[in-house]
Amino acid sequence: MKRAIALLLALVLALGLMACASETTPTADTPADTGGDAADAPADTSTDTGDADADTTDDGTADRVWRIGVTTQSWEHEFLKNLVNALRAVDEELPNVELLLYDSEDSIEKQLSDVDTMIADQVDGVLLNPLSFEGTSAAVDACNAAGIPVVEFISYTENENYETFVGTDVKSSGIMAGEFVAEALGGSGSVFEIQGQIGHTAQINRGAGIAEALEAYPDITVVASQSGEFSKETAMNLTEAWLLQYDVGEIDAIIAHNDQMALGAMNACIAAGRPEIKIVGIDGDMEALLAVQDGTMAATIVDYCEEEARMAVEEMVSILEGNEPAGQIYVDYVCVSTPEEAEEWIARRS
Amino acid sequence: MGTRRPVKDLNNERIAEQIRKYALVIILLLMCAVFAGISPTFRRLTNIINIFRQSSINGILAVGMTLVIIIGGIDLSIGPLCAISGVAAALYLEVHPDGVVTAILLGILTATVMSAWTAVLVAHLRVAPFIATLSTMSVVHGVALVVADGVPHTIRNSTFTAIGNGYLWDYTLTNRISIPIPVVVFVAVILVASFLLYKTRLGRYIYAVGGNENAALAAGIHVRRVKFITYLFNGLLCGVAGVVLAARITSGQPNAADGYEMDAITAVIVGGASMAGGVGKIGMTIIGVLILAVMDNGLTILGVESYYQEIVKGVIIAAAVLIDIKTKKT
Amino acid sequence: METEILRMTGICKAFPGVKALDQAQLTVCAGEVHALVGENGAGKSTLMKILNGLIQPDAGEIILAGKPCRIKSPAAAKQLGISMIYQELNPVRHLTVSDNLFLGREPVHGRTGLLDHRRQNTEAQAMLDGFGVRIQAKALMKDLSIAQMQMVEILKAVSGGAKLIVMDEPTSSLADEEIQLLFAKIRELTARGVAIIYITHRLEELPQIADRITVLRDGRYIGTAPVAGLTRAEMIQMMVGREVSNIFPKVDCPIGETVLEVENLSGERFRDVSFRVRRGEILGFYGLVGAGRSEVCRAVFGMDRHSGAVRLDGKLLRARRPSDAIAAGIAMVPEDRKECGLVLCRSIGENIALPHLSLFTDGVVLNRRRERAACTEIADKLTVKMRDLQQLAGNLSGGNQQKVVLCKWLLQTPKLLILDEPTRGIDVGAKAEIHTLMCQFAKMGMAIIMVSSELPEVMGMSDRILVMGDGRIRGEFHRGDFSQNEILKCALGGTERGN
Repeated sequence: MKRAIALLLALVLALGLMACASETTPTADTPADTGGDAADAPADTSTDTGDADADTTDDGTADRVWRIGVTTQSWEHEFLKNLVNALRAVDEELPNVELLLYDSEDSIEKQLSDVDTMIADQVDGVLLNPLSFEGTSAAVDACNAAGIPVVEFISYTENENYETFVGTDVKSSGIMAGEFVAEALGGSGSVFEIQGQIGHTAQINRGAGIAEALEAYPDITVVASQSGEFSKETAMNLTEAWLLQYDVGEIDAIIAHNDQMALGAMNACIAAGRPEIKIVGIDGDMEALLAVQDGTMAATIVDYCEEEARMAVEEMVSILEGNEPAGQIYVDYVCVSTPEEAEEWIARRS
Repeated sequence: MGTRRPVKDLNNERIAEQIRKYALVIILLLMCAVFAGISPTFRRLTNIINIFRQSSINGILAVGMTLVIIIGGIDLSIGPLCAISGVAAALYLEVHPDGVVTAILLGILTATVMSAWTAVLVAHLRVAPFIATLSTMSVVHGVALVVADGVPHTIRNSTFTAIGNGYLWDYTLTNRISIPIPVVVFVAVILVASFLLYKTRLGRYIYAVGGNENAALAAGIHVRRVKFITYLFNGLLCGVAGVVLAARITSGQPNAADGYEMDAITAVIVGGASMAGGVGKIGMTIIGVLILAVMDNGLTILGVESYYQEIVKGVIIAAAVLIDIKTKKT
Repeated sequence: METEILRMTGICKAFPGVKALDQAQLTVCAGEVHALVGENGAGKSTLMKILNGLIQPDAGEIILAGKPCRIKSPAAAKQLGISMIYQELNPVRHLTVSDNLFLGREPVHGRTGLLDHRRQNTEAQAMLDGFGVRIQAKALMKDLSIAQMQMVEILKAVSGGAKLIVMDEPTSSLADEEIQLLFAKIRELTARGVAIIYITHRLEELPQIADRITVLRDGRYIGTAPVAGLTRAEMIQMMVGREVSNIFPKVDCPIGETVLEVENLSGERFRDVSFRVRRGEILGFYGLVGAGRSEVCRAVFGMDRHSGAVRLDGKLLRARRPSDAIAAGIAMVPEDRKECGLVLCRSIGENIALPHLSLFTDGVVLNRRRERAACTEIADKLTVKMRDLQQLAGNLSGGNQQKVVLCKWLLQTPKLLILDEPTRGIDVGAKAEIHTLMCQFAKMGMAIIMVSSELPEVMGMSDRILVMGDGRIRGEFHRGDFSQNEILKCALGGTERGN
């Protein structure tokens, strides 16, 4: 035991020494105290003298390359993959921007850690796609403390001390989906709703939007509303149960809170020989676009993430260059319901 | 009366033995050296503090998992236990915004009580730990969802959130050494668990039961009681980790710690504990935790894409364990 | 008989801290039973592991049927016709006898490649019948007795085409009649030209079964000789390098008042067992394997459920678990060291102190110094050969492991010491030491119950012998009244004999 503790101490010491050695030329006596005081000060004003890795900044802001840390939800989701691709494209395109992409892997704790790492890495700005409305708030505080501007995009945190939010009005996607269904059904019919993971901001807002849109149509009833946990398989199982319970004509449309669940519902309907059911999803996943092209899905509400990514980066650069933050930038959703429109989007994303 | 070896031989052996013993530490230091050599960011003081903070929650859980694995068990339910502790604390704070101490105790107590489900199943009903904790995982997750009504609950009390985000003495801005509170909690947990494992009878019994349950029974040990207490203590540590996590993410969330069991188990295994039970050390588990944390941090800083990170991680885990096995077996 | 099948020469192997083998050699001829003997730690198992390809020698040559070869793995050894039957049998316990026999070479349907269960079972049954053992091919391995498992292992080796079979302590858990059956089978095999390397501590068996004997001591080759020309004393001298004059050092000591009184004890495998043990007395339990002796001991110690009355010093003892019995002053060295006696993956010190930790506790904190002092003292007293207390119990030889188990129970002097097969699988030197210790304990006033399947040991050490059979006490013999024939007959169920 004693050995283990001694060992740990030695380890901490070794790490500490490494830290000091790297940051300043070690002055003999008090390495811990002199260790890189200036190094982590707000980057835009620092002179960065001691740092080997510092960008070749001449303090002439005009041709300066901005290092921007980006943290997102897990890249295992297709939507995020599109977003990341879009971010990479923006990175290529803009010569004065270097994006450092971090994958939170859907762990709030990791996202917070990643932001800490960016701060240690002395980025100029942080683009935050928060994983959790409540949970990621601490990251904003951390950036504020370090004097690094934060722009949130796609989703936002409860903590509102960020400069600007760039994204969609999530509720509007629900409204768009609801209105599309209402119109497609001619104002009357039975609608089923597959919710996202209960408690997820997308679930709450999309659900609210759908409800708001359908309220205007008294002849449309939402027969059932259950969670598909944002999972294709869960949604499929759920839909299969509904199809057994409700006969032909008793289900007119299914609205899912995302495309994967919509696709699950679609598979169940096709397998049960009920193609007349109109299925609407949200996100604009490739599979969903293909399904709209084939006519097996009625529509998908496409989240124009390419535009959001560009706007977010541009807004950050504008802030870094000393302009006032815009505070809020909304990018509109696009409802894709015809094969032609779908084809256009497929081309854009492949 | 066996033949005595010359003293010189023995000395060499001792050295070899020490090297074998500290193979993992050497691996960790090597990893640090490599990352530090490549990336200046890695060796920045703030980053090193970050690494320790990042390891704290997994560390606390891994310490509990170490005890459970030593006793020959496994606990898959630590994620939900962790989450329910945070949820309980957050809900309490919603009603009594200033009851920080009570909230902390309530969170820890909730997880401990919930882990009694596992403890009863494993110790008294002799259900295999894998299955029992699978059951606990589901039950506790369900309870957490019900209690939290499926949604996250924000914690606004800044004293409470300091447990996750604060520093022992706040030099953040001047960037001197400052110890994050989660690290303080982690160290406290290490000390308490080490005391329990190395200084008390219970600790010795944990090793004995894990090493050979029959022999332990024949030696007059209340095997059930030892198992029961071990799982309960693990639940308590989950509660502690849960409070720190909730404070860190400034909210109690029923899904917050999903998948954490794998990280904890990985750390314990990398630390050289035997899944068969009876063998394991808290100190080595901590080295395991740090290896994982350094790897995560280093690879992220180097900009290795997360998909590749997972592959590298898997390979490094296998390598660490293999080196450990090879150096131990002559 | 004269064709040489195996020659190992100049074999060296070092482990950290030990030179396990130093220029060891062994020559075996076809059709012979070649005994390999030596004290524990002499290097027998290391040599056999090398032969089986489990470990590689540092130096030396292996010539198999005239050809030098390197044996890289147990699979390679099997290919070369070498088969091992370990002391701790390791069958797949949840598969059937037939599955075990054909493991790795299951018969399949010609085209489909699916398992042909019927053919496998018939063939297995034919093999078993042909071998003259009464075992059902479809029986689960775990339901067999140790002797039966051993037969299956031997059959498996033979049917796999083994020309050289290594048997490690094959008789250690067999009763006498089973041993005779085993010997008969061995003779059948050697008649067919199969060579047997026979490792044993029971020197008395050798004249019956072995042709030649090779002795190892401290990893070195001592000599090879035909068994016929050797006396037991000479063999022992070769093994230990000194003369062991008195094998059973039984000292008579005054027998005091009754310590343990058992009345009508019944359990799953025994019924209506009544007996008493007194201070200073060594009570021997003899019987065939499965007679219920160990079960009686386990019940007294609180390890198994039981009914009936157990009184210790006149007070009724209700031992529902071992801790109750220990608290009352009973200690038990269980039959299976590895299963119940020791935590092999922990240190010697931890094992010894395990039942007595309350002695070393100040408040809640363990006092390591006191613990270490007490353990060192008892380990020295019992002359455990070890590097230090930190050494893992699993790394000790059998005899030393058994001594550690004894240390564990003698740290606090118990009133009653139960020893279940205390010298099984232990070399001659260590055996004598344990016997001497038993006498010392008796002298100190302990009551001792000793279960043993070795009749000479029971007769040599006991003041009184209880013979069990079929879960009942069949007879009682007093010292001075012991007769090997009578006791055996009683155990086999020939005569009932009252006290």
